Amino acid sequence: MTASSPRQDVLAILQRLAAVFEEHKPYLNELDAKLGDGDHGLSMARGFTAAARHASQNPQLTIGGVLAEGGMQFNEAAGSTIGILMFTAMKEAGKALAERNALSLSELAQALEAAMRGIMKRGKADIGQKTILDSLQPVLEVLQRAGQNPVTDIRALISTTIEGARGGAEHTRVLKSAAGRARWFVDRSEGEIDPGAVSGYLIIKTIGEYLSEKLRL
Amino acid sequence: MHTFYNKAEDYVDEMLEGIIRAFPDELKLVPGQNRAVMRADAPVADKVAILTGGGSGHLPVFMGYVGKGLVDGAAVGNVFASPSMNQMFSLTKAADAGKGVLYLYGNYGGDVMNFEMASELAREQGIRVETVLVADDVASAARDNRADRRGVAGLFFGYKVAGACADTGASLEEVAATTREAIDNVRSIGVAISPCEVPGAGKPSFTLAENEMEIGMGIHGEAGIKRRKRMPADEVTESMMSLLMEDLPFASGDTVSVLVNSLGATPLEELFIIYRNTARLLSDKGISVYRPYVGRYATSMEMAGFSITLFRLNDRFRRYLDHPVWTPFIREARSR
Repeated sequence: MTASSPRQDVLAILQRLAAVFEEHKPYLNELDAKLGDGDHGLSMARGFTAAARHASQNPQLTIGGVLAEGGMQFNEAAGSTIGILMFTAMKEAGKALAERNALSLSELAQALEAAMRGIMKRGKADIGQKTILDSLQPVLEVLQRAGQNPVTDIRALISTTIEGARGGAEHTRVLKSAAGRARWFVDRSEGEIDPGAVSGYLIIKTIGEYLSEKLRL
Repeated sequence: MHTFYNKAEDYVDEMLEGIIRAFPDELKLVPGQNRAVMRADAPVADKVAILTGGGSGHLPVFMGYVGKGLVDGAAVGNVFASPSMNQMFSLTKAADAGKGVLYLYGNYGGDVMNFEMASELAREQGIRVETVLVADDVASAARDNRADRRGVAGLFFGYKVAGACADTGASLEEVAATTREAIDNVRSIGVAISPCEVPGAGKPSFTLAENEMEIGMGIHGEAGIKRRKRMPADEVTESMMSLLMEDLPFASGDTVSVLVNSLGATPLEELFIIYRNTARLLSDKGISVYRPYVGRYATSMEMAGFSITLFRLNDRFRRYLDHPVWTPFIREARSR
């Protein structure tokens, strides 16, 4: 859909994610302190910074390689639950995209679905348990629906996915933590938004905005 | 600020550097890994390697137990955050002497996921791996849901048994089964009166009013059983002991080892005041105590509070407790 290669796109997106999470680090830490131990923003910023650095230093990598090795670097830098889940998600997405030279909507949907399935399996988590999955699920639904018909307005579609992720994250306020360490904070978790779900939204928003901007070029 | 460090992001690396500098004859970094530590003489021939790991902020857990008679190596995460699978995997490759590896660590989601992934990678390379999860905190889940419990100070007894058993030359399966049996006989409970702060987080991990305490609170500030007004040492000990005793349950005629552990800020003096009543309550129930431990064994940085761990012994476990250990933080040169 564009002049630059998908591999360059992935690198650019990882660099943006590093910047976005650096910027939102204090906010995410604050959300996490209500439900966990207050380091979620730190982990996300560290992880994406490491992944972006690795991608830019290794231009020979394919998309699959950038995502799998970038995920490994994310895990190495961040550790933690989110580190292994992001590694799993990136590796699975990378596998789905493999060595593609162009990305279609249905491939993006497949990559997202593979990433989510990886998170569910490794994290033994499901939709509705107040996790990152709750902000990704609406995005997957939008992409899957869109893949069935010819898309007339791609930018409108991107806005819809970002809106879906935002709504999904917002919805975690009414959910009770049932997975991960946050489940020990159930009483405290009611009414609070899940920091992982906010991160899911920020990831989708960053990718979406990048793609939108490219369309304008 | 009541703490001493330089930059929050350097907290773990600088601590690690300090420990390696302090104990250069006993500890070394895994080659190519700045977040995995092993015995200076690892891999140890003809011995199952006992490996552990988890987030930083709990010294002497985990690195303090790396040494002869206890643990062969530890992967070191950021504060309260699991190490990465690659740190664990590198450690596994470096510490395995061909006799297999036992992963022995606390039951937390991040640690479990990273260790599981590391064990998958290790098995692909032909390294045999067994896992024993420590889930001893009775306050963290009901008794019929024991597998869901968190792992706390009881880790120490797991290390003692696994380390001693491995030193007998036992097979991986035998070390794992013995350690699992030991952990089945370990129960812990904690209480906190003031929080700790993850470096860089900017605020404490939880808040308690000046006159409040939380029985059963986890070592990362996870919710306990209930918050209540502070009570004198004997009353707190008594209510914690009754939760502990009924859980296994411990009964008249049993012999137990006891660990009264500071969560960080609580001084030894108070620990002995607590131990005094703990020992009295056990004696009243007809339970004898063998080899009690009192001190800082599993902490949460500057958190104030303590935990009590009971370990029901048989002859074999008693022998294993007597097994000499020599590590940076615990040195028991000979048995009694």
